[in-house]
Amino acid sequence: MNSEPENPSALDRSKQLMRLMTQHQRRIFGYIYTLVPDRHNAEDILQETSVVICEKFEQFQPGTDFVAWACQVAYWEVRRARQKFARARVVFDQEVVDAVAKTAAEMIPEVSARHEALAQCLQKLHTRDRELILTRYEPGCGVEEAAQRSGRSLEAAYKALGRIRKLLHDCVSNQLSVEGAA
Amino acid sequence: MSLGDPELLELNALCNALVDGVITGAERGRLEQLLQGSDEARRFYVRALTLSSSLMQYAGEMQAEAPDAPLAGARIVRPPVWVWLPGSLAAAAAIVLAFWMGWIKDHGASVANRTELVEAAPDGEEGVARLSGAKDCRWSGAAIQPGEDLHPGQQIKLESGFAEITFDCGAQVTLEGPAVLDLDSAWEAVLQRGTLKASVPAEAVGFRVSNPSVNVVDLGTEFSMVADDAGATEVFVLKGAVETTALDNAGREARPVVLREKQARRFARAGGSEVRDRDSKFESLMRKVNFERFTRPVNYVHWSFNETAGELAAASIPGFEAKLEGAPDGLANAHAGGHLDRALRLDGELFARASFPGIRQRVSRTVAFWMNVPEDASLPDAGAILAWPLGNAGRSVTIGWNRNPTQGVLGALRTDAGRGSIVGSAALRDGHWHHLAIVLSPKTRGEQGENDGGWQLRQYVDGRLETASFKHTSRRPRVSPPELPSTEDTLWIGRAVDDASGARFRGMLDELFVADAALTPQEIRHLMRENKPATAEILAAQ
Repeated sequence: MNSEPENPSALDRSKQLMRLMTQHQRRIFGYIYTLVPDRHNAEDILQETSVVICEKFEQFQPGTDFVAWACQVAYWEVRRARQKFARARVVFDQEVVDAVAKTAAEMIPEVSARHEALAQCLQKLHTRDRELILTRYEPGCGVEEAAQRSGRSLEAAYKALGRIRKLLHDCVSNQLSVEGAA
Repeated sequence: MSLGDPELLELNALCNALVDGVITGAERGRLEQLLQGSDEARRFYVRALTLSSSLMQYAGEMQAEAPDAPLAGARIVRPPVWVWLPGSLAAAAAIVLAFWMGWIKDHGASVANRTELVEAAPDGEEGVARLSGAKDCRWSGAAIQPGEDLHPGQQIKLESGFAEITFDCGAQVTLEGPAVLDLDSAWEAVLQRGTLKASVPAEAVGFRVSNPSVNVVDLGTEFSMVADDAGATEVFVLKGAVETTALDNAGREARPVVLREKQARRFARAGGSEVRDRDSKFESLMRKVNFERFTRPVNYVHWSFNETAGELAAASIPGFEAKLEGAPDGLANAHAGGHLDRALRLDGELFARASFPGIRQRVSRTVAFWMNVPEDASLPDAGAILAWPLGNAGRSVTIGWNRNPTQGVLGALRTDAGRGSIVGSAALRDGHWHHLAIVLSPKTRGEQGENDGGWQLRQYVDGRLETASFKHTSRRPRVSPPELPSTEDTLWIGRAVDDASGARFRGMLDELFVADAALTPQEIRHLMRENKPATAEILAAQ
């Protein structure tokens, strides 16, 4: 067998795959997280999805929507992984997962725009609020850690996080409507 | 349904509880209700959840760049790689590269020739079980029809009545409504709630049912599980034994405990305990359900190969006789002692052909037979055991043992059907008789722009569903599909349809059955044990 590794077309495809994965993993993760709202489970599924995307990359037609294709792969990985996260309390019925998957796929462009707008909205937060919410979402941290670092009680931290998320949600929506009108 | 302010506030609170991991069962139920009933709710939910996933990324970037520094500038600049998941993404990227480089290395020739590219078959499209019996079933959501294929990831929600599900491994599960069961594979399911009774034949030992409080692995038995809404599960062993593993709140597994016949145990997050009213519950679980079963007519052709001489092997249906050919030194050694009575001995040159009208049609089919491959069989002896044409585009089905170690276990059962292939995991070159069954079912969903949706292939060795060591579907047809030697509908025994390579099979073949249906694991076991097709009455009595 010819085991020549420098097959140019194959290497080009490899580079294309890496570029697309690097560029879009965030969007794929966001999609998975809406179906499996548990960070660790969603990360595991993202990893499984990445492997399947590699395996099936020959099926992807260049010039078509990579994110939509990758989300389809992710959807099947979510279905396959049901047992793994069935033990968590966050698992939804399959019908709900299917309905959310459809909506999430339709909203991929909007979600990308919201992600960009969020950067500016984070700037507008009070420093104390911004530190609380970013600590909450740091890898390995949770609400307890964020409460401790900010000197809040756990209950106060939950309430504050809810309030900050609402502020950010509204800020992002307002910003997009302003940009849309401009 | 349009959401008012109170619903939006409630939805917001539910989303917060969900992402912070403090949602209760009742709240989750309410959230599901809102998500199921309203597109507006789903849109709100997607925005809320993706806000959290975006915050994970931004928080990770902040931590990676300058943990204690305030945000600088008006905009956060994303690094070129997703740094907030260093462990998992680095691993994924490594796998991307490793897989890709490995693929190039292993498949360099085929990539260079561009004749055939390989892809994995999406398992989600393949059935892993089917509804084999029903009694007074009321379903939540879409009704499931008797005989319908069930897929991995599918959730079965039975409001009332009894449903019998037969897994491809042979395990039969009776579900009593109200119950919810998630199917994970041909070997495992998750009982979310309700009552389940599993009958597991010896060939399906290892079948597993789990849920949030316990994992149950069958050790050859009949057992029941009753899962209540509070998360507790009672396990009853009606026959044989099971291995149970309790799970705590965090999903950590306790030391496995074997439960034996007539033993029962209750598993809850707080710990294990005795089952109350044990005897009356056992009595109730032992009751037999009279199912309305899905039956379909199955036609079989059977070659026993019991002849002691001559060039014809008789078939159970006149006109299907197999004619022996290709033996320059005569047929003196073609008839040998077999698994049952006599068998057909194929010496690496001899082959047989049987006229089989309609065999090329795109319908479900099962072939079952006994095979004996000598221990010293070498790669040139790995010709097709059975082969027949498929459709009119130069494709075929070829069954043999795998001679390519880069494509699964060397010497394991291999089936190539059209553009799909599957290789099992048990090496068969051991000089012993093995019962083999191959089930071919046309997939309903076609590939893009094609009517041919490929085939689902299942292989059974000695009655046990084989785990595939290799599975692929070629994406593109060969550049020049080989022309079939004739348009005849022929079943070839001991050689491929396209005989250009001259490769033949060396070994013995006995009691060949060809059925025009996807046989169930029970029907395959019956053929193996009784050497005759199972009747509906026999199957119902099992």
